[in-house]
Amino acid sequence: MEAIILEIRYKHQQQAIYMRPQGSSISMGRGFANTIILDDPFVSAHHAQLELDAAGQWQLTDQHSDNGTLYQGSKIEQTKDIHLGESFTMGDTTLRLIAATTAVAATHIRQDVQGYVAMLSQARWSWLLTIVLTAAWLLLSDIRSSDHFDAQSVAMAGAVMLFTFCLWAGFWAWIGKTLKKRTAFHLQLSVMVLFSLLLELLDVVISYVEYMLSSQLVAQILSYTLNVALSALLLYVCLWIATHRSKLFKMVFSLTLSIGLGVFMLSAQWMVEGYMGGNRDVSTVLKPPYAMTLPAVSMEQYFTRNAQLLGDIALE
Amino acid sequence: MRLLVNMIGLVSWLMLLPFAQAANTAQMLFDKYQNSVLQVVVIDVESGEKSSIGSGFLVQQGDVVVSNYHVVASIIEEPDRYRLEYVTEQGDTGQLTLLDIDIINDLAILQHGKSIQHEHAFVLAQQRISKGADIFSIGNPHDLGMSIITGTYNGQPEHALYQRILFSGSLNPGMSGGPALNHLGEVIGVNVSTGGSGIGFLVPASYLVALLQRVEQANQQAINFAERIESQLFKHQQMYIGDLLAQPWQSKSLTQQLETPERIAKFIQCWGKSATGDDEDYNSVERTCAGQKSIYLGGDLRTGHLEYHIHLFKNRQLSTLRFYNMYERSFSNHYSGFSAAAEDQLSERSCNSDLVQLGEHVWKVNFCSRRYLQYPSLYDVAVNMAATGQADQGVIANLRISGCGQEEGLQLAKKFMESITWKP
Repeated sequence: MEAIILEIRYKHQQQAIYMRPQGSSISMGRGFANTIILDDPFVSAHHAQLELDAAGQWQLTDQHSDNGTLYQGSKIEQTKDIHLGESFTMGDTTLRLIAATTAVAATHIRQDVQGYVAMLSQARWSWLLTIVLTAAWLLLSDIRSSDHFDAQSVAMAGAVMLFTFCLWAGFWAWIGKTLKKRTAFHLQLSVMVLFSLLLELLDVVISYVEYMLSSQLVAQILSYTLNVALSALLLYVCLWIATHRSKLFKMVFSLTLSIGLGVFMLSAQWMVEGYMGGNRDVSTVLKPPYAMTLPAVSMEQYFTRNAQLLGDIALE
Repeated sequence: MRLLVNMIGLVSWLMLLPFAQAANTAQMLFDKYQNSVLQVVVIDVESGEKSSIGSGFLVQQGDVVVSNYHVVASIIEEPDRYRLEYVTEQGDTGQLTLLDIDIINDLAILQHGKSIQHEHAFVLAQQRISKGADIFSIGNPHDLGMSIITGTYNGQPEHALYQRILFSGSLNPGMSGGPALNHLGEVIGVNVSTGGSGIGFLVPASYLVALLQRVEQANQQAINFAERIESQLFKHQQMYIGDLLAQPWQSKSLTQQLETPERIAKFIQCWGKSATGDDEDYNSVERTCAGQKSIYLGGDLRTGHLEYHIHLFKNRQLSTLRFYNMYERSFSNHYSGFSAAAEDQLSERSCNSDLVQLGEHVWKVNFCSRRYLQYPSLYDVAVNMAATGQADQGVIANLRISGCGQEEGLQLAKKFMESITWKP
């Protein structure tokens, strides 16, 4: 079957779905069982159906919807022939059937880019939130660091945040074709920025664990495990807010991406350490006295351990 | 006027006289001994070409050849890949075999297969030489041809761990293993290394006497060189670390709060440095002490080195959190651990990382060690420690010893830790 593009326009929002229908029919409506799910309160659960007949002609049938289906300004009573390029309306949503030629696809890529730019320019309070949270993040890392809070570090952090923001918006403009709510983007952005703050806090906690356990290896593994768990949770929440995807999809998607990324980052770190010479087998964490006082071993105990250590070094 | 010209001429001539004399001696010595100095060549068996060069000289009626260990080291490491040859001033060549070595003093005794045409084999000097005397070093710098270089004897640093004669003259690669002579033509030392422009080092001939005696007594029995190197290194570290452990260490306060060992031995030299951080946020005072030389083992591997470093930090303006962040980072940076050179000849590093009660304070201590794969009785040991418990002060101390025995390494690390007294 030939591929088509279904262009969907709802109020100011427009998206195009490129599809190669598996059967010969496409069902449309608000319900989850439809091929095309429309987020429009004036659309019925099973609103209308598009079918391809033996002659290769698309036919539109209204499925006894509450508000009816409009074609060329009037409600359709029975099945209507729809030619490529023609549009029809259900509730506040207008749909247009287009032949999926390359030229048309290019138009839709342009529209996607426009949609992305629109998303960036309309997300005003997301911008504001990003700025506020970036400032909080800078402050938090400045409290810990003895480096100076100078223009360069502010510019650097700002640039990193801006880049992440645009990347994130791009991701959601792309995934937005199955977006549940427009506001989902704002919500997810907040979750993401909060997540980076949480990571900064997590870093502090991990260094205390390293201090107590005296092992960078354990701290590193713990840090990555927590990171993976947290980012999987974050992705799941974002997908839950934004899309109609199944539970299984959300779970598999968020876990695979997080674990994959975690393993990649950890192995990259170990590779760099292997090359540069890391101190994984020792701990170099030092904490202020008010933060922590821990029991210490005596010199006798320590040197018994050291003698053991020397005795155990193998000649591989 | 004429008188004045004559006077100037006379004075100039008198001033140049010593140089002219030295030049004459050099010429005479070179004529006399040029056939007793050889070029020692390490040949890569596969390609048949030379892979490194040095010098050597005939002693004991011309029976044996003296050179440096570092000139011939590669044939001990890879006997199948390399062989040794000599080239005389006339261009004759022949095989050389290794008889014995002194790894500590970088000496090697070699045997040549056939008789080498020579008039006078070298004899070793018996009497001491005084500072400022001319000495003459012979060798083949950069394969450019046998040369003689006139320099000045500038004594022997009295307390060095590795005794070397200071030769003020220009030694160059390729001259290693050549003889350095007094004005009578007696060997006072063996060319061994250069310390940069116009500074050279010689191994004193006294070590050569002992080695030659051992060769004579050994009566050409085959030697396992790996075992010999290991036993020489082990005895050497036993001797010098034993001395360090036996005597009390001079303590010297770095500031009023910190008593640390100063020069724990005379072969150690200390350097100091003090600084304020960016924007005078904190003060730091440090002392670094180290032995001056080390022992060449082969390739990139050196051993027999000892160094320690004490670093005191005092907060001035930073919040405690930020001060500790800086302190932690310094501790981590100081943690250079071991040298990365020749890591394939050493085992993986093993460490103990703990909080240790030392006197009244708790220190974070990382004790690390690794073992020499070819010489299993020898270890490298490093201690890196940082004081905890003070909101606005900190001390970082490091000790590194290369090529020590198990017991010596442990004892020295312990003594080092206990020698630091902190009274914040």
